[in-house]
Amino acid sequence: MEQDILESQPGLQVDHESRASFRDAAKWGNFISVVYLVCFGLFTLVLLMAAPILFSGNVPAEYEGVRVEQGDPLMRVGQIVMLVFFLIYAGIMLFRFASSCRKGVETQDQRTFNLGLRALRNYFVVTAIYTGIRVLLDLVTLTT
Amino acid sequence: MFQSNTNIFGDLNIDPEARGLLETIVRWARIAGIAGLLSAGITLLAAILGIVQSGATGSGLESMAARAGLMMAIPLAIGMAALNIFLVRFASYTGNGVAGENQSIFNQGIKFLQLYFKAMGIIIIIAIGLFVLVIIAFVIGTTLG
Repeated sequence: MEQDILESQPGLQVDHESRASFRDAAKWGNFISVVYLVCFGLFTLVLLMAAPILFSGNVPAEYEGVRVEQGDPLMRVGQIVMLVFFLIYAGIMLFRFASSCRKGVETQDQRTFNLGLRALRNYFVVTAIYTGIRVLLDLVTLTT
Repeated sequence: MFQSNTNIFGDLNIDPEARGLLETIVRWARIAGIAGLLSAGITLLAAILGIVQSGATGSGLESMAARAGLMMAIPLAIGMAALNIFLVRFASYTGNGVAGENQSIFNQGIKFLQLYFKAMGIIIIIAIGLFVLVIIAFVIGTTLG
């Protein structure tokens, strides 16, 4: 009887099984988004505090720390801007996915659930672009 | 008038908007997964090349550093590969589930999304733990030495 009713339903549903998976994915997504945002904050802070030393052409002779003085400065700045943009945008999108998806699944609200999916789409778009650029840069570094 | 978005069991439906979003998610997740797998391979290759180069031209210290690099690159590459395999499987199962309107395959795909985020979270927790251990070791080393 129940099987007949299920088969008569058109299309896919977020049933009991996928609901549990979405809820767990949202829980971990929330944790990862917080890590991304904390990393963004720490990275920006370190960059602001250490930038004069990291990018200075006149590094004191006694300085033994990290030096970012090789390569094209424009490329260097581009990579840092890309990383900072990725961390903040991916963090926000993942946080939005986690909160909207969990809320949508719990309250059975289609609109909120779709908002969560939209945020997940944006997260994967930015992740794919960032990872693709990283792969290309790594290949260039490896071959030169 | 008001139209219910749930079926008689109270489940959400994958409506045309959600379907379109899932199709785009699957496309980009597949690209991200394949790029991530390539990145894992490049990480491993770079570490192996480092060993080969240091063996040919480097000093003893350089060779030791290259070996240490490889020791770090192996678990990193394995973690990255596992993570991206989950992502590629999520993309293929969910894509097939949505295209064929197959509930069981769709559920399996969403299970892989859950596994992807869970594995990423666990890797982050391990990385934070290692980072804290290194800081503690550094502080103890500085205090004692």
